[in-house]
Amino acid sequence: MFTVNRRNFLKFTVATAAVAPVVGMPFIARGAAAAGQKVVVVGGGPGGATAAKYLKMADPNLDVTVIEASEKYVSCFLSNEAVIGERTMDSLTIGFDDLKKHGITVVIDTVTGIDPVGKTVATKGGKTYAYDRCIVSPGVDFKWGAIEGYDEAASETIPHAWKAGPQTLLLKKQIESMKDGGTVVIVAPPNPFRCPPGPYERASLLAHYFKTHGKTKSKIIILDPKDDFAKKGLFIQAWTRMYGYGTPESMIKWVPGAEGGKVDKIDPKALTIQAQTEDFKADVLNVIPPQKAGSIATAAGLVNDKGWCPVNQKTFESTLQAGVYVIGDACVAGVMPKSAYAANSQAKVTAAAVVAALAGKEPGTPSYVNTCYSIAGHDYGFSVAAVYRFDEEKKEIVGKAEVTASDASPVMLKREVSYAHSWFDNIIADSWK
Amino acid sequence: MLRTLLGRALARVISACREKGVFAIVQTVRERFCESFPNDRWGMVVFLLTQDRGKTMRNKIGFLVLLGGLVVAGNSFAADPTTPEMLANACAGCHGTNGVSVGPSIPTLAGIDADYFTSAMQGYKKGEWASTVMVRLAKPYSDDEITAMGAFFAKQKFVPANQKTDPAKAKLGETLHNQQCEKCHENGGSSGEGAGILAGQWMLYLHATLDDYASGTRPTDKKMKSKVDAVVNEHKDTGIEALVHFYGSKK
Ligand SMILES: Cc1cc2nc3c(=O)[nH]c(=O)nc-3n(C[C@H](O)[C@H](O)[C@H](O)COP(=O)(O)OP(=O)(O)OC[C@H]3O[C@@H](n4cnc5c(N)ncnc54)[C@H](O)[C@@H]3O)c2cc1C
Repeated sequence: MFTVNRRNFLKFTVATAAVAPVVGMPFIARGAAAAGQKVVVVGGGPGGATAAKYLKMADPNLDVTVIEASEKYVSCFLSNEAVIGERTMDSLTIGFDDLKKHGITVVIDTVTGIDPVGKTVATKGGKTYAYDRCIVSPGVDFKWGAIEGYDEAASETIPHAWKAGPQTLLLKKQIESMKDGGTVVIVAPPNPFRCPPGPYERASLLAHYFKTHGKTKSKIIILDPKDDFAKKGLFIQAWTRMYGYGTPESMIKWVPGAEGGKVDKIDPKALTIQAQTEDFKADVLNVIPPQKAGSIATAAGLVNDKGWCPVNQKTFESTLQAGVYVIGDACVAGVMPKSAYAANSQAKVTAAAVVAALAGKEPGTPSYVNTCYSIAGHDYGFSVAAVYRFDEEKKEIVGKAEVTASDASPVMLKREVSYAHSWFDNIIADSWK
Repeated sequence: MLRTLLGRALARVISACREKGVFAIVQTVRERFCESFPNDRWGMVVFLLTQDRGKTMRNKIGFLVLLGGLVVAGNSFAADPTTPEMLANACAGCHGTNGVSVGPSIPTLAGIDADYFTSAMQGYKKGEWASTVMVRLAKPYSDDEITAMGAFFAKQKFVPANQKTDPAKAKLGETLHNQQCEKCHENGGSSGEGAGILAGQWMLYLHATLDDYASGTRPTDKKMKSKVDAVVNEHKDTGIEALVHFYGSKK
């Protein structure tokens, strides 16, 4: 008969402990963390701001500090509308006063280093902040020089407009002063990058702008290293319906990688572009460079060899530095795209995981959402949406993103534009207010 | 203190195991221990280590059942159920923090009737209700999750939308409401069993919804349909406009 002695008992205990993470216990973080435990959040974008707010909502005893480089945040989302003058820069600009009302400390300074052993964050301003847990949401930085001729200096005359603010205005000015019959060349980035449908939305809205501003002979050429892109079927359908796509008069031309769309070199003075099989000349050139995690992630030893931050996708704790969590554009989050909604949703998962960890508890089972709208023309919008889950076996975020039906009625396409605008109102309030 | 707690927990497991069949055991072990150690799996380990093992037949059986249950549980339960907060917070990107929307075309969910929430989500999930994104977002949630989210949003405080209304339209709307709607959407549309909150809801959303009822792209019961049709037949879009302004004007 099987008798329990200390030895096989221990064996069982070990086996039990091994399966324990998946044993059905309600790991609800009921108790609060010890008062005054410190969380430092690096970056006050949708990822960082949301994390700070939801940490405070979950446990008001926490001492939460957001360190953000800019006085004000300028949203990239809906900035393509600002490029064509259909939205003000003001409406994209968000201050941090409302965030402070949650009892969050907001410091305007640039983080220069994170010490995961000493658990401190150092800033350019010469300050050091101690933390129990650190959440990093620095967004992206560009791989300058990946396209020969395009570096940070060149971006002063050739906008990327992939970080909103002066860059958005620069592109806007150039578009406005371009004469009818001119050519805009958009150099699209390789995967993965911030806002996968963004370059194609931009092309659509530029076509819409030219069409409605008496510049109907103007063209937009997208040079792409990829052969596919987000919501491609819906974009092509929209371009066909509105901008003559597929005809010789098409306002938009998309050159995929297979047809030589990859750009090797640009001449920032002559505005010439050397793609793989052909050279192009632009009147307005918009280069969206290849991307990597925001540079603080590299400085803090949080990135893999591709420049992105690998994390435990259930909690977003870095797999490289214990006690440091990375969310938003900078992290590798399974099949979730790099979007503001994704950053906002990941922030809530990580906030719950940090609260649990500080109270000595296991993290709960996460659930994530993303919805990304694209506006392709007047009263013409569509979206991709998904609920994501953590797959315990694959140890990855999984989910099936679905796009708007290709036979969606005009009423529905129009509604999607208004949902895009209302989403914007809500994501801003949910993240920063 | 701890010993008493542990002892009590064990006694409950054993008695429950006796009462229920073998298949209920795993569940029982989970439930009982979750009650006793709600927060911490280490509580379980502590329990195992401090157990007075094998002294009595009763304890021995209990111990084996417990271990067996744990091992089986490890295989048969993929993960803990996601908390209602976790599920509902993910909606807030579009529907606002705690379901209070500040975007005029997206409805506030805070304070919603839980049954209405469920019927809406099921309607979207099955593709029976006209929608753009909701059909895609409702599908992945289980029935239990939908119920949990409904209960969460029902508990949140409704905040009326801050929006401009036309007093003349609102006045006609009030008349129409009293004629057609008040019976089910009581108190000027602020309550009603199994119904959404209309009073103080976003007007753009209400308008789209009423359009969908009128066109039949959002199915409803015969009574509701006949009421909407009555408004539309007599007043066309002006009637819908009026109702929307009436509800929108309520604070
Ligand atoms: C044209 C365009 C359109 C888009 N449209 C959409 C859309 O419709 N929907 C959508 O969901 N997403 C959209 N996005 C994507 C969205 O902008 C990003 O995914 C989102 O901003 C990511 O949030 P984040 O918190 O990871 O990073 P960010 O928003 O980049 O925020 C990072 C913050 O950290 C700060 N920071 C960085 N390093 C430091 C440091 N060392 N010290 C202190 N502070 C630091 C930065 O100043 C910044 O404020 C769009 C993007 C573009 C370019």
